[in-house]
Amino acid sequence: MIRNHPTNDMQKEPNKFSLKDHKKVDPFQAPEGYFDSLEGRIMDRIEEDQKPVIRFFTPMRMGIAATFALVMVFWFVFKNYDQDPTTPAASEWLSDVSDADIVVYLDFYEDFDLQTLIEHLDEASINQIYDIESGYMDFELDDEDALLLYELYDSYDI
Amino acid sequence: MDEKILVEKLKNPSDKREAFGIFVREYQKRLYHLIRRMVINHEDTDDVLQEVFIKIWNNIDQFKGDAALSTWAYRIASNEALQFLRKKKRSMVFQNNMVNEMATAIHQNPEISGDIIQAKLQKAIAGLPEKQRLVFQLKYYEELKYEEIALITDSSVGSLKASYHHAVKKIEEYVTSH
Repeated sequence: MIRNHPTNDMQKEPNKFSLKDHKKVDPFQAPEGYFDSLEGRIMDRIEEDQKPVIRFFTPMRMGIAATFALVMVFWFVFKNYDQDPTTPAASEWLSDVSDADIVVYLDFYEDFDLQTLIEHLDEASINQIYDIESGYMDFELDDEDALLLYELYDSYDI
Repeated sequence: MDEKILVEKLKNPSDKREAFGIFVREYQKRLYHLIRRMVINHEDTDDVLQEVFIKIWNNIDQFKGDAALSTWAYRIASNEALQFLRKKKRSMVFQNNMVNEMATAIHQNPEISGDIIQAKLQKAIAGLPEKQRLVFQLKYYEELKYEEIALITDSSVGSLKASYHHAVKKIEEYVTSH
């Protein structure tokens, strides 16, 4: 068999680095005197850890503080609820979004029954999501839902 | 001191303090170098090493003596070093510091200062995945047996042999081609 390339056992590449031929040196050295003080520093830490700790934040105090904070939050929220006339309500935010967009969103991202949603659509919205010319729908429906949508469309007699 | 006697003293509250001093003096250099080669920076090594010894102090009663005390100590040190690296892994500053620290260490070491091959070698080692780097350190620098490394890293001897040979190949290729 003719080999096109030399194998390792046939010929060793002259410039190839070999780990076993290289002098083993640990490049990292500890600063001078480091090991002289290490034991003492470790023992200091162990003794520090073993000292009894007087805790300001006892579980009971933490519980009282958490309860108080919770009460304050509720009080603040209720006190300020709907008092700011400049803050728009959720219904105002959603008034700018078309029903069709909401249906498409809820169908894709939320666990709503499409049938229930379609029942609340007006004629224009159904037109938006269903193109009568192409029969193309903007979102995926199963057979049952598609039939329902078609019936609704038919009932509007467009 | 015989290891068995040392372990007995470490577990005995009245002898624990004195025995622990012996233990620290016996193992501090070995564990320091293992951790240092993993985390590179001296200050980080100091933090990790102190944690290792404190863990050993707190958990010595759990040491059953199934393996050697050194294996147990290496295992704790390896786990602490890997845990430290995982925490720091995502920091680019840390990665850059590692390279700088390595360059400084090589420059400051009179034995290898100016040794380009050594610099390439250390860079190649630093480029290995953490677990493989640990295996490489334990085999190449610490010269431990695969059976012992298996106990330290909780791996099989077969996988360790493969990992080590693969690491050597990668290092040799890196140094040759750079």
